[in-house]
Amino acid sequence: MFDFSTVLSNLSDPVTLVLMAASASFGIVMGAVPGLSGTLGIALLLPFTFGVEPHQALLMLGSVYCGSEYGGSIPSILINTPGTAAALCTTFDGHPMAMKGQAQKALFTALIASIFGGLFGVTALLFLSSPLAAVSMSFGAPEQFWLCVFALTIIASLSSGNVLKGILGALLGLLLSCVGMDPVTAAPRFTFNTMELMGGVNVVPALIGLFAIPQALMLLRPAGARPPMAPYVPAPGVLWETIRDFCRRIWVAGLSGVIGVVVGIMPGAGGNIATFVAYNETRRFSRTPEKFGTGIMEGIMAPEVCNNAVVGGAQIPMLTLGIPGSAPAAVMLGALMTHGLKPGFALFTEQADIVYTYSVGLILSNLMILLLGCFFVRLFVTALKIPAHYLLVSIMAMSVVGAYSINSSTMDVMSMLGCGILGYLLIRARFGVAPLALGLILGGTLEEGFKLSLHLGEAEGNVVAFFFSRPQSLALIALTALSLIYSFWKEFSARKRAAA
Amino acid sequence: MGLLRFLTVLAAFLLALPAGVVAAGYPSKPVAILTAFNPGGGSDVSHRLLEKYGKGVFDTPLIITYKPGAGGEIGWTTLAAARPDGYTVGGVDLPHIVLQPMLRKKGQPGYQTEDLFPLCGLVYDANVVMARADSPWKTFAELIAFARANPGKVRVATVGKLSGDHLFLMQIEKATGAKFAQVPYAGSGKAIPALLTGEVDAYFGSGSSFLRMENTIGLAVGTRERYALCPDVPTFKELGYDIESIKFRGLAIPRNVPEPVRAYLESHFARLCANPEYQEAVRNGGLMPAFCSGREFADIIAREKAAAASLLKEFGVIK
Repeated sequence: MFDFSTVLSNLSDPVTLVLMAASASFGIVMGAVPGLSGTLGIALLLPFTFGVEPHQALLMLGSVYCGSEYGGSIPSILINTPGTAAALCTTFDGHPMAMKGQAQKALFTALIASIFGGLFGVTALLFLSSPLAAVSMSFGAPEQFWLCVFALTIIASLSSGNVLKGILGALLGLLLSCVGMDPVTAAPRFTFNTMELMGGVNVVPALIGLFAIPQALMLLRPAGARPPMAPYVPAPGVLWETIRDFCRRIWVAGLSGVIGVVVGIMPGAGGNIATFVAYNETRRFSRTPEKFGTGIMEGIMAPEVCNNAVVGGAQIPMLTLGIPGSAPAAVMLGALMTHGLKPGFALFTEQADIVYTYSVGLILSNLMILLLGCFFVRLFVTALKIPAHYLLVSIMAMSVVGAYSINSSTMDVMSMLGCGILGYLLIRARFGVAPLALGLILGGTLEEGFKLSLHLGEAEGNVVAFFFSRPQSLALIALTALSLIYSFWKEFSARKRAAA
Repeated sequence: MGLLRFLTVLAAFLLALPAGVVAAGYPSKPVAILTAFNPGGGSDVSHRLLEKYGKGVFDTPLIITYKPGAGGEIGWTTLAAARPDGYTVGGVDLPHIVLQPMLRKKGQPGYQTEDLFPLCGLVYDANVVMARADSPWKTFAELIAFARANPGKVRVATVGKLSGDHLFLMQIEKATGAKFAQVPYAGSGKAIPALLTGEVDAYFGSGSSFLRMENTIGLAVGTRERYALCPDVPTFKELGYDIESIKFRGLAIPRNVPEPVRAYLESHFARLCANPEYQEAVRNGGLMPAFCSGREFADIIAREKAAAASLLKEFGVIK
């Protein structure tokens, strides 16, 4: 076991605390700027950690990771543009809530939910890492496929009343995700013999395009049309009100936390998929599912608790098995190895002081984010006071810079602009961009799970049986079927009620 | 900006003086190491170690730039087309850089192996035949005997299709006459759990993956002599098969970089790689530090290219 006094003395070092607070702020900003992400933030900060002790280095990088997962919610709420792919679902209710004049409440909800999720995930990391590592090993390629199919059922909830448009949008997204190299065989597809399209349509620039550009173009529309910008309504005392309302809906947080940890530990799934599942499940268990999408607290809590719970979950297989559960966790793994730490169960015994200082320290860094967040919320909400014509220009400029900065690639800027125009047309045609984004995000993972399962099934001798016989897969198939039946039944009864 | 640049140049100049002035002021700004894969991958870790231990060796910092996508094609095409001023150095992996141009579909643009000028070799990663500790076969001979009796029944994980691991699999199939069911995963992060959970029966791939896993056994290793990082694993030679299979990682620069600049880079990387702390860190990451000069690295590339071409011809993949 580890020496608790060492952990405490490590964590009470003022230098460590200052480094953590600075890193957490950096992380929040990285998350909040569309295009910049936690993954990039960790990679950028890594060289600056070479000079410090390994536990300090890990805490700095971990704080960036936690901070960025929270920061992603800020632009989702204020300008309907997800700061990170995992904050996509936060736009569904976060932005409508801001439009109702409750921007500050929405931001505080996201903050409290993020901290709750973060603490939930770290608790799992501290106390349940070895049983959960075993669970993570029971998910294979077919489950990866079925989980994506399950996540796709959210379309039915997203496009309530017009499921066909939702399905078409998702199919278009899946089609776009096919551009570039086949994830398994590396064969080029839809590349038209160009180098640029070989890498495919990157998700993050596409998301910026789909969400930010239509938002900016809407600001250009003549007055009289519905204002696309949320009003600025200062509301003193809203923090306490938010905390009270949060506690009343604590079941949402618990459910989403569990989903976040479980999906987080699955290698290759990560926060992007987890938030869709959490949003959808919360909606299903809610007594007022029809209010989702109109700006209610549950709709912000679910994705925000979930994507922060993924942080702890994704690090369980990373620390215990050396297998990252998400993209930022992959960079963390690299950082661990650069600092001479070897992942594995032995890490928890041989380097117990470092690992436990890190895990306990993550609790501390979540609490720091809570304090920092209270400051940032007041700062960011004033963005709504900026006149639309200035905001429009800055959104456009940030979109270009954000898209370029990911891989310093002009192709990403082009695909961002292309998706922007596509997104605007889809919104004008009342399709909505969320189903398309969903298809694009899930496409690669879905296809990879499917193709690997084909290979594996062939070796077993029966492909169909392989897909449908594993108990873990059957559980996911049952959930998918239930989810579909439930939404059709809801739709049907709603129509009957309308007719009556 | 102008002042900043002037100061940087001045600082670099002053720092460079004791080391001997090279190519009129080179380097006057940080040297970028282009990584053709995502942050967090095996290449990234190797390059981060260069960045970490390059401090004090190079006159200006080394910085990592990511250009991921299409299994490295995008990064290496960018490297081949970079300005030959010595400020862009790229990490290159073998056999990737010989396979990609060889297998590229007609009409699809991209770099050629010859466009990447070999600067130096850095590390190697020996390929290992891996199985779970509780699997029914405990030796390579048992595995092969079973696979021969049940062709296409043993599921083998590789990283990628027509990749280094796949060549390794082909080599084994050719030498033993066994037939395996290949399951190509996108990365070692996927292949490792697949082996550990029993989704596949064996994993033919990098020793660095093997060294990261617990409860697995190595049945054979692709080095000529016993591999220092896992000395218990027998070599193919000992088992009576003529198989050698190793992945190399090194650095390359665009063609036409001025000779003094190339020499500066090569000699400084040589100094960096001689640092025992760096070597220890590389070994900790599951790789074998093995610096070699640009000329030697070029020989390795040529050798790997010939070997890959003959193997792929034999399996009818290329004509």
